[in-house]
Amino acid sequence: MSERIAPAELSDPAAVINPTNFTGMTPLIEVKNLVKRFDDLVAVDDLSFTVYPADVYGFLGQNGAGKSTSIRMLLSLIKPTSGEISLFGMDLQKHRFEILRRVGAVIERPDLYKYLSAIDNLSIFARMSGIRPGRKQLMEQLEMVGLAERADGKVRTYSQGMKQRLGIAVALVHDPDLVILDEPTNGLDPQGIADMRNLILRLSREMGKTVLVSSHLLSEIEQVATRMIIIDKGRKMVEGGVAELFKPSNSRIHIKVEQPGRAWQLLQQSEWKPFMEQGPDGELIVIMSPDKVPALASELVQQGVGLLSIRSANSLEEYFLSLTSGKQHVASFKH
Amino acid sequence: MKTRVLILLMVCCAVLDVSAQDANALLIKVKEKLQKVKDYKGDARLITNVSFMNIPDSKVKVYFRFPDQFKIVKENGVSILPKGGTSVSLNSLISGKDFVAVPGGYVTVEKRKLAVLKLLPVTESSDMVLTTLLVEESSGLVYRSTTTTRENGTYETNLEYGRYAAWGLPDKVLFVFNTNTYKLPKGVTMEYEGSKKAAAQKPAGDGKGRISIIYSRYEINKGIPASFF
Amino acid sequence: MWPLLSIELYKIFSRPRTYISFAAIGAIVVLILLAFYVDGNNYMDFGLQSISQTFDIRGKVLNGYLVCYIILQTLLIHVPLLIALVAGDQVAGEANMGTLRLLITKPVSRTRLLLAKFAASVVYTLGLLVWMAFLSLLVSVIIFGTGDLMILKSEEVVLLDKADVLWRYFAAFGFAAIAMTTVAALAFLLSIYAENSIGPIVSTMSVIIVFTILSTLDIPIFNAIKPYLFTTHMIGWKGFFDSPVSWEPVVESALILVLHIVALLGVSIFVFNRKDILS
Repeated sequence: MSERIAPAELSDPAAVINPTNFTGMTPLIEVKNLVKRFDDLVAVDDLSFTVYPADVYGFLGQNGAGKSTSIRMLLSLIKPTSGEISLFGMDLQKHRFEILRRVGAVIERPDLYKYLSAIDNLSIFARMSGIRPGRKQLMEQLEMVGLAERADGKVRTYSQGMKQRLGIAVALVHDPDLVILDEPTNGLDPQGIADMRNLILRLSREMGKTVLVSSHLLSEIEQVATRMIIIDKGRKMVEGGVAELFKPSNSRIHIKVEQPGRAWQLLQQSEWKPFMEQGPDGELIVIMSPDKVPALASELVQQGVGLLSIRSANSLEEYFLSLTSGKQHVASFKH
Repeated sequence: MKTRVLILLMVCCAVLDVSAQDANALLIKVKEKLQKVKDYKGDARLITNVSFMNIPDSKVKVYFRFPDQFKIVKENGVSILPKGGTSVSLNSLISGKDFVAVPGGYVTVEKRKLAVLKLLPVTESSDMVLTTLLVEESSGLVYRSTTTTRENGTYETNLEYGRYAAWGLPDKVLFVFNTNTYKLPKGVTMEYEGSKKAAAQKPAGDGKGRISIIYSRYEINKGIPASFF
Repeated sequence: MWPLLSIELYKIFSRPRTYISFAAIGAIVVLILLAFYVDGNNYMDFGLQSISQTFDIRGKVLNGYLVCYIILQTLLIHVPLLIALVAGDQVAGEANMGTLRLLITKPVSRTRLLLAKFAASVVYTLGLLVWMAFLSLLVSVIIFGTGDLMILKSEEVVLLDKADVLWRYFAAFGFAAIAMTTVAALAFLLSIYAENSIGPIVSTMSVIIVFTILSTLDIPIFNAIKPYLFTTHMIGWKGFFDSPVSWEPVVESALILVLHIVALLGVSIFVFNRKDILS
């Protein structure tokens, strides 16, 4: 891919969009209280998150954390046990076709019809998406991912990297507004991983697409995402702007109060809102600079909320590493 | 007493002898009538009625050449006839073969008084065991023949005359014969249950098969080469 | 619907395995034809033993119509395997290949997708039957000519007039199409439950073999359940070779098969619409 797709010139990716400035923006993906149970396994547990237009939204979690299940629910492959999913402001259940027409996806491995040529694969999925591109347009798509010369070769003969590129071409053939990439770097060599990173940035910046990308590697998300979520055991651990979350000065501040519900409501209306989580045992978790803690505390006290404790936890990076280090038992969801 | 018995015996013998001579005379009359036909080609309808056979009525051509060549042909088709089907022809039965004719009195069939002739084979090796003919004395026409054979059981031929009576040729021949039971294992035929139901509704046969030949037309003595048969 | 169907057909007919069936049928038919051409009369003598003791059979019993009947009788038992090969692969094969998840994320309802896939399987089934009809009927007739058709059944010998045969074959192939579509529907349903195509193919064949054995064995205890086995009705095409055709059971069998198709397809759609795609 690298030879075809010029690496985007990057500075800090998060600087592209100010992640805190979403007031008045319609969310592109809005997930509320999503739950999925497989028999007695809870794969996704009360998950809520929001993706805004032009986000590169990172979906981070270790294997089995519920990423794939969540993404499959976004694509209507799996029916949620409960909860709401809306894309482009429409309910997924009710407006499935309108929504899916505007979504392109690579789900896990980029599997395609091995016995057909690349161009046939592309044509089939374009037609399934409701468009009928001619050979010329299809060739342009293949050109973009560097497969034009092998357009008529059977996919069976393709290398893993070529399949991955074809998978991307298939996901983009109907010019979707939202591109969902589930673990796109799995099985790729370092060059392939770098190509993928550049492609994601290009999709976002040059083509103006919203991208949701999942990974179990913090480094990958960190390098491309503007906003991100970390999930573990199907639950949201943290969600927010990558720049804010990873600002070295920021810490996770755990606050215990007498009236957690009221405190939550109060903070929802404050400047802290994008960086808030509800932790276990009614704890509130806010990502913030430790030197702002006194201001937060006094605000809560002023509003009559009784503080029980305030403690600073480790950084997000350490936190995620602790999740993925294997210390915590995670029921794995494998298929 | 002895003499009276002897006389009675002699009278009886005399009567029998006379009858035997009459029987032979009648047989000769029948033969002479039949010998008028050197060959024929007949158009006929063949109706098969055998309990385990489902055969549509078909148009056939019947060929005969004196003395005993006989053939039923269904053009471009398949015909199923009982073995010894050639014996359907009377001619072959009584032409040039060695029989002893024995009179058997008279019977009345359909208000017609018919003489009974029993033909016994002279040769030991003959397949035929006994043939009974019912003959109308005035016309010399055979109305029924019943033949018992060693190999193929008993068959009976009923004849009806009309337009070709002068030639001794029937308009209709009904041939009745014994049939073996027929059965194939179902595993071989992979039977369809629906057909079986329909077949079960048919009455069981009486162990006899019937074949009718209804002649519509004869072409007599036009010449048929022997090689045809 | 047509765009979807054309895509599914394209997929089916782009695969080499699809043509295995056509080649297999071609090979079998050609072998049977060759065998009959070389040694048909001996076969006939053997087959007709049971009646040739009492009867003289004259005329061309060994003709194209008879050969076609024998081919159908021999082959139709095995065609379900060839049908299952493709129909059982329709959903399971995509799941196995990994393309199913991509397919489902396209703006097409699962019901329509399934109907298109089923329709494509039916087209394949019909194609196979037309191919078989072409080889077994047309080629047989070209080689052996036409003639009266004599059929030996377990309790009856049927002779059909030459002019009265051809329509029966058309009807029989029509019926066989319904019967084979039932097989396709069964394989199709099983295909939805599986994530590789071996499972549905093997289970379809197992069901058909077990049911056929039950249908064929003449044992009273099995006779009671026979009418409820669809395999019993699958050989209804033979009903067209009765004289006269007993329409009632044949039509009834056809309806039962159609009912099976509708039910199997209905369950397929119901199950598939609720299924979580995890492949």
